Amino acid sequence: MNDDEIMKLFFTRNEDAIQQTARKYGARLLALADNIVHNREDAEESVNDTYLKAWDTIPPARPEHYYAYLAKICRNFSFGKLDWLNAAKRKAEVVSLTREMEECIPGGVQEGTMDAELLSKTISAFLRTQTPQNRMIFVRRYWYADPVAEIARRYQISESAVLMRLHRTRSKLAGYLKKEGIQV
Amino acid sequence: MTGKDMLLGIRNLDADILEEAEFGTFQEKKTRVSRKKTLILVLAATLLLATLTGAAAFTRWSHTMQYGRLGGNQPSQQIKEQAQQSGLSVMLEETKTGPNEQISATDQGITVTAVQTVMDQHGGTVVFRIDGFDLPEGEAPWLWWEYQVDGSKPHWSLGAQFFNGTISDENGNLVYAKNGKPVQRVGEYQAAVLDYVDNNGSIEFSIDFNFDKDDGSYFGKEIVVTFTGFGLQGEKFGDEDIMTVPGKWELRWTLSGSTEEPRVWKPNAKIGHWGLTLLEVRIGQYSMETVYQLDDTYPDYKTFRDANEWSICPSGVRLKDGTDAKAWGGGGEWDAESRTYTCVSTNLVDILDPEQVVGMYFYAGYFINEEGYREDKPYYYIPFE
Repeated sequence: MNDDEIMKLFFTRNEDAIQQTARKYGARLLALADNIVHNREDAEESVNDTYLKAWDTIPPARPEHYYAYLAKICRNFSFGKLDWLNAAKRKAEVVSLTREMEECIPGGVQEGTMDAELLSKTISAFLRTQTPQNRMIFVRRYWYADPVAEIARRYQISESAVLMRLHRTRSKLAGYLKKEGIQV
Repeated sequence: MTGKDMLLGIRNLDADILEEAEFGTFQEKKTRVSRKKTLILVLAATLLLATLTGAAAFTRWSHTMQYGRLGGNQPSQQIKEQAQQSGLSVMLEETKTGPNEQISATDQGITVTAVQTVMDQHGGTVVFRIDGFDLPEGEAPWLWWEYQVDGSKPHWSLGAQFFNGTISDENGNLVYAKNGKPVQRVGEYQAAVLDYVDNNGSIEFSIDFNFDKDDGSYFGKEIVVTFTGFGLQGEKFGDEDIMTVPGKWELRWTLSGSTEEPRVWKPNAKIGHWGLTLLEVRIGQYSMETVYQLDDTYPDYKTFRDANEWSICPSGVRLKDGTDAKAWGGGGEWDAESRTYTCVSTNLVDILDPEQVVGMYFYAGYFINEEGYREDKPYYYIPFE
């Protein structure tokens, strides 16, 4: 069933919309949640919360990119369930992710806040200046929270190539944010 | 703001960017090797001799093919002899000497030579040796090239790489091909220090081609590969690689390769819980085809793939001696009428002796281990006999 057909189910309030969504995207959403919470029970709960949120918001929402819509919800729920302190103790993947993302903060300035909407827009604009390959690797790592080994397997390149590309992209992002006058 | 804030703050990246990363195809015009400090070692003569003694009979082959590509196994003498007898492997300096063939060209003090092809009807690998290019210490090489076949550019997919001087030892650890010593690692991410330059100063570059036709009709046709510059992989300038020596190096020869029939099995075996039956397997020396039947759990292959996020192509084959030979990737076609999917894996990691194959294995997913990391589940193994 394609996304348009699933949308029709939502708009006619047919609960099969959830089943069809789960069938089509359930595995991907579970992998995303698993990457973040590293706990199958919490991951499944995040995915189920995602379906409920989709049910509550469609309509009136009619997302053009249905998978991205679901994935954003799922990512938010998953980070919401993450016990950051405990994650740090277990040295989970998310700790590496936060450390790597700190490299993108320009000039070592680590004070202040920035609107998440503006940050997302700015980084989206930056990513559009990158090659599709580097953009995809960056998004897999920092948005989908994929381990480096998983990215290497997905794109069939070496882990060192993934790390190098991430390193370059982070450096360029820090420069871009600085050039754009972004104070994060 | 902290790294955590950044991680959370990017939650609303543009939807098309997110879907590109989830569903997009990773098209590599050139597969790049990491730019890391090149290790130039002065080798003790005894170590070098020790390395070469065992390989003396194999030295005709290019380093790229001799040392095992993509972390694969090194080909045995028997495999090499079979590959040459079948026409799969061709040493161009010995065979491509016709009046219209030019497998070596020199310009700007740099000589490029096509040294070996390994090809069957699905595609293959061409290895080039580059002499006279002075690679500064701490830099990684790059080059610019294009190709034509029979006067036009075919719709082949391709990838390319430099031989980086490292191989896997028997324990799977990365070591230097020159001396068997463990690879040096540097930096926060412990990246490998690569070693592009051979003792004689040459560098090897190889291109993997996947043909768009599998009837062997490209054999007998002229291929022209033109290099237009050599240089360095960029870092300061991001992805803008730096051409330091522009010029023109044009090589031409007649394509040839093996058209040997593959060995065929009909396992008719279920694979895991996927509702999938492995109907037929055809394995040649450098490519393999696998045919699957989907049950009616899913309406079509795309739905199956989307739901399971699982590669239908094999992860490798098992040999009679109990060792495994990896197979990476592959692509294929869905036939809605017969509900079968055919995967073709070309440019295999290892050159195979099909008579030695006794089974095939498939990725079975992953689980989160006690440390909180992903770990592969045991692979599904399908015996053929």
